[in-house]
Amino acid sequence: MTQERRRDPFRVQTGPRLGRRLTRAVALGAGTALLVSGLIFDLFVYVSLRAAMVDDITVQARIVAENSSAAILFSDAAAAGQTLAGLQASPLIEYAELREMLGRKVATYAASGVRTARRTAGPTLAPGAHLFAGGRLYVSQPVREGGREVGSVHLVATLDELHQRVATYVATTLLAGVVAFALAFLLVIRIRRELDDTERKLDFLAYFDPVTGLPNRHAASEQIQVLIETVGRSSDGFALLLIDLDDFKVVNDTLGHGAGDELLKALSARLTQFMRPNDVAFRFGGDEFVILAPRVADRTHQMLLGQAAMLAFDAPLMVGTHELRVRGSVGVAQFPHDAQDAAGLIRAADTAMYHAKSIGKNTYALFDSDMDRGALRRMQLEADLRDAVQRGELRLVYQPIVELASQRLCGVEALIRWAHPELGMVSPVEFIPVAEYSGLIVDIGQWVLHTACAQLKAWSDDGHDQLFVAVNVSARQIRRGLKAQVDAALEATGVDPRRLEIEITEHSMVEDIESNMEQLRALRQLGVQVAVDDFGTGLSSLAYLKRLPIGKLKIDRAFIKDLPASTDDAAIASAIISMARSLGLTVVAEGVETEAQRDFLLAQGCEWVQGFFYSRPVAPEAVTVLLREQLRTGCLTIGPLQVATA
Amino acid sequence: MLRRSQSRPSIWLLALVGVFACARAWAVDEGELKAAIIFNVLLFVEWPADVAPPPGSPMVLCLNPGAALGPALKALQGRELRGTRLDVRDAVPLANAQGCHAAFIDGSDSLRAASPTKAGGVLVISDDMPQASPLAALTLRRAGNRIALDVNLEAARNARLQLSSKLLRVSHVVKE
Repeated sequence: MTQERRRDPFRVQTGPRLGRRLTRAVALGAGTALLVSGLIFDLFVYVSLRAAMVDDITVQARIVAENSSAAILFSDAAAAGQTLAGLQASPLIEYAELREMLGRKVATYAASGVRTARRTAGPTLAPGAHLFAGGRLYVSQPVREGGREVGSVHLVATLDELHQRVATYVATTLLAGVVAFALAFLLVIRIRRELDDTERKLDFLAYFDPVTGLPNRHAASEQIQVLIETVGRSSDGFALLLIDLDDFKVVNDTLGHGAGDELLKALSARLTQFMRPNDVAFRFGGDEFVILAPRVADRTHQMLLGQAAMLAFDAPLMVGTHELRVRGSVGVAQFPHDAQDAAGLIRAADTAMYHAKSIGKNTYALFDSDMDRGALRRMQLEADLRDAVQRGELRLVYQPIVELASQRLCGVEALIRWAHPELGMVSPVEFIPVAEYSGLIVDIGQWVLHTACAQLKAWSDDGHDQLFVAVNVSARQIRRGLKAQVDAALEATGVDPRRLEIEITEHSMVEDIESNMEQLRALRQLGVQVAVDDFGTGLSSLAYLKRLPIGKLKIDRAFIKDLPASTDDAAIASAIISMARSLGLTVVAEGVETEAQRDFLLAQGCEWVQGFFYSRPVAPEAVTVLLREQLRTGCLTIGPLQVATA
Repeated sequence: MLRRSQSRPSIWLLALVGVFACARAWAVDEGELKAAIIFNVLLFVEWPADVAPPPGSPMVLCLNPGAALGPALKALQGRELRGTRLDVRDAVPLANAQGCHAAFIDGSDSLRAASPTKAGGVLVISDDMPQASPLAALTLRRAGNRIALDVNLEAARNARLQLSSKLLRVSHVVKE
């Protein structure tokens, strides 16, 4: 009920247009067709009847003429009258006259009941002619005898009966037309009802999302236009809240799409629960929602709306038997302050939403123009990144990974750097998301693999054949066929696959776990090492760990930073290490910066470490120096590596 | 036709009374009127093929030079009739007349008792006879101020003539 009320403010504006047009077309078409065909038919009947009547009366005139020649020749009025009296059998004939050649009447006949005024032969007609005038038919025929014209017969027939008959035809036609029209109309009404239903269904499909029952993106676009038109008239502006669920893919991938849909449904039911009745939610895309909040002008109001929207994520949602806690990021933008049109408004909300995501997700952000500048910078980065590989602006630096037990440099993690010609050094934290978003990550990833493998080959040729290189790959790279890319890089450089390590994040794994696992398994079969990066920050599901074909975990720097002082982090770190050991995995601790951290990890049995304590990421030449030093001394370089930072 | 007409005697009585109820009555000369009637009668008679005027030949009306209607009839000389013309001739004696299609006899005809139409094929029209001639198929008769036409069908049959039913409708049949 509440739900219904909340959807009320948005109504599909379009009525059943097709049905109305069909009814109108049928009414007009059928009506005109029936009327025109009926009238044509009636006209045809009228003309035919008139022609038949002329024929009929002419024949009678001829019969009279044939039988009255003697009467005319002998001026026998009685015989002539007798002949004319035979016309009584023809009810149409009102008056008849026989004339001699000189025009003298020999005999006349008038049907009973014909007024005296009508007892006239009418206008003078040439013998053999006929004339319709004044509702009567005048027919004249010559009387001949012995090849000589001896007189004429004149018949006058009433058209009343013909007119009555035609009127009857017209009435019948109209009646039949009305009946046919009524039947057609009944049929049309039935069709129209079906059409209206279909149209309503189509409208529903066009304007509503079948999964959540919320109005869809199309509806949102229209409603935005409607709201834009109210600005300046009945409102000072309105707000658009763009909501994107965080990690929704995880739900879909782990619990199935059915559960994902259930979650969306459950969430959509409460999206506007904490908002005003006039705030309407729309499903904008896969896991994106839009809430349109009319009559919102100031930023305080927008903040309240953002908070109200976030309330929807507070309570866990029940999906089947699972209790799920969904998180979302909300971007708020206001019209007309933040944009001049609908597209701009959505873009602004989108920018704010990404900002909310970038500041840690599960929060909301109001749009401001600084964000737009950020978005502009992202657009510039994306444009420039396309050419960065060709222009050689990208390069790799390597951070040493040290084996704690032996204190030897055993591997390096390849890290990307971008020297932008105008902006200077651009942080991977900034450009990697852009590359991910734009899809450039695939090309860049390929370049990274090649470059890292080529470097590895160079080190291997230099005698450091036990060194490994860890390369980070993105989810998108895995999806686009990581195996093929790795194969290509290995083939091109000829390095030992066992010396290559692929680092993946938990997030990138869970997006399409089945396909990813297949790829990783194939890599493992080649001998390539697979490590899970930033372990502990994502879902950290033990079920994943068991299923994934991995050999190494990298504990995220977040858990190392406060070691050993933080007992929580200490507990987490030692738990991860012991768990990894029992699963047969080795562990790398990232972000080791102090000796105390190093000692703690050593004590916990962590095999590998990397961090500023040993070395920052450095240029490959610096690594070469270290490696050569290590090789030359036969011993390892103990303690922090003293090398120039990259 | 005849049987039918006889079955309705009242109509024929009416016809007879009304016959030749010319509005003109005697405004014209009685002789001319009779001549016109005789001329018109010729329209309604069919001659047997052997005596009918061949194409191009006139229809011959013979009369006693002394006949009272002689001048009136002769005035019709050459008039077009049924696609040919009328030839009015004096025939003496009328009984010997050859090539006549019609013969007019009246009281002045001394040969009125003779039978000029033994061979048949001649329409005898009589007028003003004290006693009807058995040879005359048609007889003009005064009836009040009108001229009536009596038909003797037996005479017509004997003369092998066919009288049109139209003529019979305006005539009085005196002998079947």
